[in-house]
Amino acid sequence: VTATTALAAPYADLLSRVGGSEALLIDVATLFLEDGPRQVDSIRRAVEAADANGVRRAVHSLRGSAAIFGAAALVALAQHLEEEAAGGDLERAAARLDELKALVERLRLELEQLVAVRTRPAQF
Amino acid sequence: VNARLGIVRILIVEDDRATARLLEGLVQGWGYEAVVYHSGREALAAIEQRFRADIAILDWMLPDIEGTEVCRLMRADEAGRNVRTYILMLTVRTDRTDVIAGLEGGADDYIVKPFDQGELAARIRVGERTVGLQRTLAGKVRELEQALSQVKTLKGLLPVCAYCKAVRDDSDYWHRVEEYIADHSNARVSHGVCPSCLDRMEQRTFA
Repeated sequence: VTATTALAAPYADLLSRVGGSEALLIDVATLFLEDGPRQVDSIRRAVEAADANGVRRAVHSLRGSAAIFGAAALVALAQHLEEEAAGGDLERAAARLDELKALVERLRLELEQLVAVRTRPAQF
Repeated sequence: VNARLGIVRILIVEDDRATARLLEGLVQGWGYEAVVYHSGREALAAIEQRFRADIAILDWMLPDIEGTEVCRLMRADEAGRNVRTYILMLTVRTDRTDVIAGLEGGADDYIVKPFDQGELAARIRVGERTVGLQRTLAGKVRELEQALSQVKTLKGLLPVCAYCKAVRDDSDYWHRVEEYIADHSNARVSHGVCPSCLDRMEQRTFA
């Protein structure tokens, strides 16, 4: 992932968002690695169950995590989804699911790399 | 007013684990004690078990219970107490109606996600100041209540022994009048002999 295509904010920016603690940044990123795909699944399930309220809540949680990492494209998409779900329009929401899943996967890969680099034992 | 209140305990209710961990890590870094719950139900169960926090950061959209409902139940639980939890609601920029409903429903302040950590820290300090003021006031109220109850004791009817002047208290114990006055007022007793008693004592001594 090169700097120009990165979804997440630059490392220095991320670090300042967590009060400068790299350990905390790794903790938060690691939680997203587990929860991001899970949140996409629960959004999909709620869409399939035609549970507009469930979609809205699940998207809301995902939007919160995406915002931590400054993933503006993902936040914007989640916001559209949330608004559509609030308006009961699940057809539009369903059409956005693949794009949502792809963006979450991109963010997940970026964060996975960040965690791997930052937790790599020092080389002597 | 700016003095720290000892350890300030912050309750965090946020279903998204990454956001919850971020909040927890930040407030711990600022020297607060953090307690995290990931659902409204868990938080309410803890409050029923007499869990108390000085400040609460409540996500306004939880998967199980609305933030407004958590807030309402916390406020109901506090009824009659002098110190309340300072409730900061966590919302997103688009939820303006939520903000209004939240503040009307008992929240003290709100912060918009994604939050700026400087702003979060400042808002928490406002909460800390408010809780500090409440505690100071509650302490003053207690002092005044105690003072008032002492005043009432001395104003009421005192059962006094006709011979030795001992005073009977509410639990049927007799106290020397000097002790009773010292316990129930700020007056101190010094001993002397009045002229008529002095006369009587002299008559007895020289009789």
